[in-house]
Amino acid sequence: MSFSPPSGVVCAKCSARVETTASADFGCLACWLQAGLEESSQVAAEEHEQVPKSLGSYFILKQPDGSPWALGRGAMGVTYRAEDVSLRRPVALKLINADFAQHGAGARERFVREARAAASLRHPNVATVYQFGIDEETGQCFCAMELIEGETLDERVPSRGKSRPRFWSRRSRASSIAT
Amino acid sequence: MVQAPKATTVDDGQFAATRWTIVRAAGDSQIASNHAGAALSELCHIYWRPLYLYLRREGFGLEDAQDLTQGFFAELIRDRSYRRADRQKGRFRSFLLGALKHFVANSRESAQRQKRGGGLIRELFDDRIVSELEAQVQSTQQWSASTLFDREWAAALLHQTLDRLAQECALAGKSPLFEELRAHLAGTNDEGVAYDEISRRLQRSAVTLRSDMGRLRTRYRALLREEVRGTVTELAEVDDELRYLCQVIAQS
Ligand SMILES: [Zn+2]
Repeated sequence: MSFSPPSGVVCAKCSARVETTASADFGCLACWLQAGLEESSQVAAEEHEQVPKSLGSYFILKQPDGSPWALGRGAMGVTYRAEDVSLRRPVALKLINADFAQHGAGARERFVREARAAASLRHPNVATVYQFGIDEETGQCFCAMELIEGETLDERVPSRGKSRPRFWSRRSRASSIAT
Repeated sequence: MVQAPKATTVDDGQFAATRWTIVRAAGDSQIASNHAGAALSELCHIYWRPLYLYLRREGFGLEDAQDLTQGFFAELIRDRSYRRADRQKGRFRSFLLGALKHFVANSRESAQRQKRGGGLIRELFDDRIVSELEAQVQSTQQWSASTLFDREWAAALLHQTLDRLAQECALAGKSPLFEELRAHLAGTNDEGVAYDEISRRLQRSAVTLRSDMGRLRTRYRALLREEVRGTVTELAEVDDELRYLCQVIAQS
């Protein structure tokens, strides 16, 4: 544009001018916006690397392109198509974006309580919750549910009266709060 | 019942009822109008700064710019002028600037530039904010009023996005983590991220931090797109709007 160059610095990454103002004090605006356009393979790949291959006996299945098979995304986390390798049945495995493991046994108890409450809700289009668990190493909470084809998983609420979900932990430490 | 999305990508369609589409879709029904008024008022609270700075750069004095900004919003919400068919086209950003220009022209003609905000936006202009905005007016003199408006729009959008992410993190008890990683959320790789130092400060393994970073980046991008989605009418316009704003910033 035809205006005199501003006093700001130039972004090393995208070479847009960075002007720090009261309402834009977080660096290069162009880069922050650009991130919203990154469906780029690099970001996707990074995200995929962070999805564990398995949790307990659940193996997350892959798409033909090698990416984890996500079924839906919600505020609490992403749900993947997975297989229970011990029972040889397909499951919907929800990885929950909460960090209960980092907040001690109290937080984990709360998680289990909330999970149980969710499991006791009634809903016409129900999915059975098979199991809740935490990977003690990474703090990843998950929830394995019955896989019902043709539905948005986040619409599903676990049902009452089906088998009571088990609680799994990679190490036995958490088992005391499971029952 | 909705079909399960087969692809691995986020289904943006779930945000179809966005604030701007609610405003535009409002018919004559009172409930719909109230709903639209609330949605519009929310949008105004996010995006008033660009309008104010636009007016300042156009040469209006402090008081005039404040009165015009709040008068404009008050009239927009009260008179429901946004429902006029010819005003419903396009993106919220262009609509708002166009409506402001129209309002200012009318106010000039009728010399009716009295205070008429009625407290709606008034509380936004406290002394701290006004001096903050003044500093901004002074330090960005290289930009035209419309460039300043667009840049400020982008800043408001990003602020809103980061605020929402900060709130989500706070709810999950992860505020310290958010603060440490915040500066890197726009990045696409881990260059320059001092995981070891952060790991010491937060007592959290570097491996876990890397996965935190991945999740936060993904969430940031989703929230950003959701915010933009709130200001356009078609899902397909999200990319265009982001590209437009990127371009303005790159060229200014
Ligand atoms: Zn940049």
